[in-house]
Amino acid sequence: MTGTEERLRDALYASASRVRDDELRPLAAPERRGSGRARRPVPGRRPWLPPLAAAASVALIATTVVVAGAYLHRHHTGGPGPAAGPPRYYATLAGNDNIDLQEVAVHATATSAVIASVPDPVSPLPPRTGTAAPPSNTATPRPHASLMPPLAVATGDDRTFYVVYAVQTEVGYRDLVIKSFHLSGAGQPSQLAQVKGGQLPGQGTGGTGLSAVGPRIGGFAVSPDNGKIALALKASSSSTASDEILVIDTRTGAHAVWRGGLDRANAGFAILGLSWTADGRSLAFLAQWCSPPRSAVSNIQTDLCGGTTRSAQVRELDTTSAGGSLSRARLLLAQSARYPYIARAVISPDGTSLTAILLSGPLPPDQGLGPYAPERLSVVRISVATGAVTGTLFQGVDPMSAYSALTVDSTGGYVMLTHADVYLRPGDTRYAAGWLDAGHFRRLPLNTGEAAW
Amino acid sequence: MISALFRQHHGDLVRLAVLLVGDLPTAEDVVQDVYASVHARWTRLPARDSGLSYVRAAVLNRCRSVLRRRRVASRVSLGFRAAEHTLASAEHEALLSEDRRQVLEALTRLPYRRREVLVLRYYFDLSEAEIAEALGISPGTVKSTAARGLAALARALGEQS
Repeated sequence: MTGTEERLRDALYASASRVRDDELRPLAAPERRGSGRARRPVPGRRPWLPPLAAAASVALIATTVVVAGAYLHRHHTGGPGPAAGPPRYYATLAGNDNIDLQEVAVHATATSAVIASVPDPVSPLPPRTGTAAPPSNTATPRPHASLMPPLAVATGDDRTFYVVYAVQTEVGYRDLVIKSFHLSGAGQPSQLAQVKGGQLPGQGTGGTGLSAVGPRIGGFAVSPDNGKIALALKASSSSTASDEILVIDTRTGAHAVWRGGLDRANAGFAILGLSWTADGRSLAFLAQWCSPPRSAVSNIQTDLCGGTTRSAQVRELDTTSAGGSLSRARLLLAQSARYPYIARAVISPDGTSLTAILLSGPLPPDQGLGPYAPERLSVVRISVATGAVTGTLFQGVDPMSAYSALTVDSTGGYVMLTHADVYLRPGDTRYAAGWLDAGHFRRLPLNTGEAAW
Repeated sequence: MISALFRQHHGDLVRLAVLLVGDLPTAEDVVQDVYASVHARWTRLPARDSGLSYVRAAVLNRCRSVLRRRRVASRVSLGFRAAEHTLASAEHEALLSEDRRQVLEALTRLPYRRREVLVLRYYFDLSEAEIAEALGISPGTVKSTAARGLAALARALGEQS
């Protein structure tokens, strides 16, 4: 045990020791929710604070947006015009420096500055069932309201952003819901709108109660015409990772599901990353197998295979059918001696090439902590027809490369590299978050979480 | 059953909450709220979940909600500050050595998830698998989060990690 660990353990025990069992306020069995409980007054607690703070928050955000919008209007009077450069804005899920619960922020690409925060929606918590009612679009908390943390963000056209929110209940995040907002030319987000077919009850926990409070979404992508949304989710409560693909038709609200067919004996299967072709018909995904499965150690599978054997494929699914087996997806690229570790891959709008994160080099020594994946990272373009690398966009070294996420703009020309993991890494100069601009790596702030443009 | 479980673990649950939210009154409220919530629907909960891990996760969720609301309040300071969620209150500081106070202050400045992992690991001695289950994350993420938390703590304390 290191000195830091010893000091931490000592301080925690000292701090916790002041809580004496015989001095605790007795627990009161609830006769009726909200009654009969005498709360001890807390210094600084103000019951009127949450609604006032939320209202002020809206005002503050609105002010920020107006100011930022005015600046952008002066400096960028043209349309989005992706051919003339990267998207003017991108959205991130960013953690707070103190509390890592995430929020959706809109950034100006030119400066990386946050120009607007998207207010979290809230939903009422029915008192007895713990199941949330359909959420509202307002940011003003009501009695028994629950905040809804965002889990994933994506856009297909660089302007209309879709966000997956978890609906919080007393015991966890049972349901997911998808909402959208549109950015004006000045970068101002619209009100959140409900997405047709975007209510996903039971997807938050996989139906296993608290054992999966933190829902894991293996991928989230929106077609360029905003007509289809795809998510990689857990097929059942026994799934250890995202192993099915759900496609939502946003015009009709219809769902189509692809699952099964790619399972291998004694291997854990996971779907990591989704991307659409421009016509909204084909969906590319990365399939990963860990052998033996991580579930042999725990019932929760990590994105990483750790010390187990890993293999991966990039496949393309024709989503015009009503669903079916994942085995119908066409193989585009497979792990091989040439590509020993394909961490992520997205398909180009015309479907002729892939942009992929490849990892290489020896595994770092196992120090009992941290991931087990090669640290050398390359972002390359690979021809679907020949399987050959046609260009290298970026090379770097990052100890957390395996957590990296790829986002490509609607033209396929601009690539953003971020970490799917949102934790801040102050002082870590090797952190590779940025976007690629004609061979130059435009570094983003260290606290950039998963991004969409 | 639920009442017996809470009677047996009441102190530990409050200690878990106090290490995360920082003050005893709020920590007691957190546990009371969870008790009220779970009490109402205990019989309908999945039998496969162990009672203690279920309740512990509910306490973690409620602590997260408390801190999230504090964050919203502190984001807009209207001439006042939201209740300070420091582990080292004035009363508490008097009981702690300077070294412990420094460690706790550094811990408070960590992102919440790292704090959760470090508290569960170094105070409650939970295994990685148990922490992963309580937080709904993978064991790999528990490992990396703990490593980062310790490294950040060491940096803040001027140590070599």
